[in-house]
Amino acid sequence: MSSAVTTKSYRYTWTEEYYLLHLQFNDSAPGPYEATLVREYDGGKRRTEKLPVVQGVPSHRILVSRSHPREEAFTVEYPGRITLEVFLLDDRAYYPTQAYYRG
Amino acid sequence: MSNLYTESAVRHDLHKVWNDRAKEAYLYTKLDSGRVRCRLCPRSCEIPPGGVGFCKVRKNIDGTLYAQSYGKATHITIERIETEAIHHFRPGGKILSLGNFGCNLDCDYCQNWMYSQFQYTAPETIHSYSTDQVIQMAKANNVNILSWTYNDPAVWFEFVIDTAREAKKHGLLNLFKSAFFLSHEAVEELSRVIDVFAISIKAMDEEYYKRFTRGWLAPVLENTRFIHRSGIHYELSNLVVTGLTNNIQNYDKMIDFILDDLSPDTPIHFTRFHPDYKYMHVAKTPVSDVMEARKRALDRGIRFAYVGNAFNCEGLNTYCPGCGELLIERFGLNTYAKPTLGPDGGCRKCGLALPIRSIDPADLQGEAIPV
Repeated sequence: MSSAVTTKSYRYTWTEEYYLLHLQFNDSAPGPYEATLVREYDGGKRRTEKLPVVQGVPSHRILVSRSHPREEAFTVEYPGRITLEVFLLDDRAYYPTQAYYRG
Repeated sequence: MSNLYTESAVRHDLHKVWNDRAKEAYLYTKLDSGRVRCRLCPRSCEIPPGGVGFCKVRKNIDGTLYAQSYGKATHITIERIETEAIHHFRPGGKILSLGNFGCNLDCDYCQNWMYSQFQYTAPETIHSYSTDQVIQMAKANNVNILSWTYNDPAVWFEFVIDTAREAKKHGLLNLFKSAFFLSHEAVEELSRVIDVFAISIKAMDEEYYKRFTRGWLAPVLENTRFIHRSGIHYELSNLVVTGLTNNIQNYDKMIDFILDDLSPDTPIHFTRFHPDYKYMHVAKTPVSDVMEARKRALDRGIRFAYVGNAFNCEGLNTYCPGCGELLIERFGLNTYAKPTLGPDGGCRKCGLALPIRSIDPADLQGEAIPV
């Protein structure tokens, strides 16, 4: 029996308060997968980046930094089996423990 | 978001129940009556049987000192080297960051206190990695630099040394971000395997160190001088704390140290503070304060002064100290090479050679926004 591959997405709008986030990818059944980040700029321009997800580990993090003052938001797209946690960073050398979003 | 500390913060006290004999510590001396003296940092903790040092992760079990946090870590995190306040080595390069638990300091404003102060570390946040797993994860994900960071890798000494040494055999580099409150022999050992040091000097004041970090300054400065003489790449950062170190006296002492004991080419990052842990009563450092510190450093002859924990200001950029041309533009932790930056780190406009090492064009972004 085959199952359709589901994807999930999360959109974050940048504020003046934070310009850094940790994305934590929790993989309940570690295996290959891909995740992408779509940056959205004023004027409607977009840039899609393949995120450097680490394969074969139950969980890990990736730092995302706002790339330009004209970048307004981003959307991360990832497989349905992954649980994403988002952490807001006050400082570049910060390892936060309380998630801002989980889903 | 800040992690507010209260007197009722949950204590897990894992140091009282862990008795891990997997890794005997380096740098310690056995004493009489089963006691040991740790030689990792200037504290030289004398530890009785069953006891731990100030860091809470080095434990005396039956007269032998064991590294309790060996191979135990926070999540690995893929970041860019600018995360560690490094702008002149492999700009834009990907790093694999690893942190762990415990610390040989206890800074009132520590943002990572739930890890650095081991009594508060929850067991579910601890992950296990072997040396080989770390190396394979880096290689499989095309990351060339391991970054030992977050709490303070000083107290992860054995795992850092073992993994860094093995990683070098695989062509990987190692970055060590630390407050550098270490013994001289520990720094000597590290200098054999570490390629880049990101050294955090909290303030240029002994009283400040004792009051706000529970450490002391002199060994930090001596260790920094040693790394400078060694020729290994290093950069300094200075946390500018509102109401404590955001003043001209602190800036000048830092600048004097760099000019007198190091080099005007030593990059210095004046970094913004945010309220955390026990230091919640003051505001985040204004960008104008770190910009003032940067300006003071440049005016007095330091050639590469930056600001940290800022998103959009010229204090993040690298300019040619010869002609003032913009060579590397940064927004937050994103790094954009300008056409004026030569492949060897030199300025194409005036021809001045800059001390920027290991540039890989693949790491540098071209256009900040899509054209």
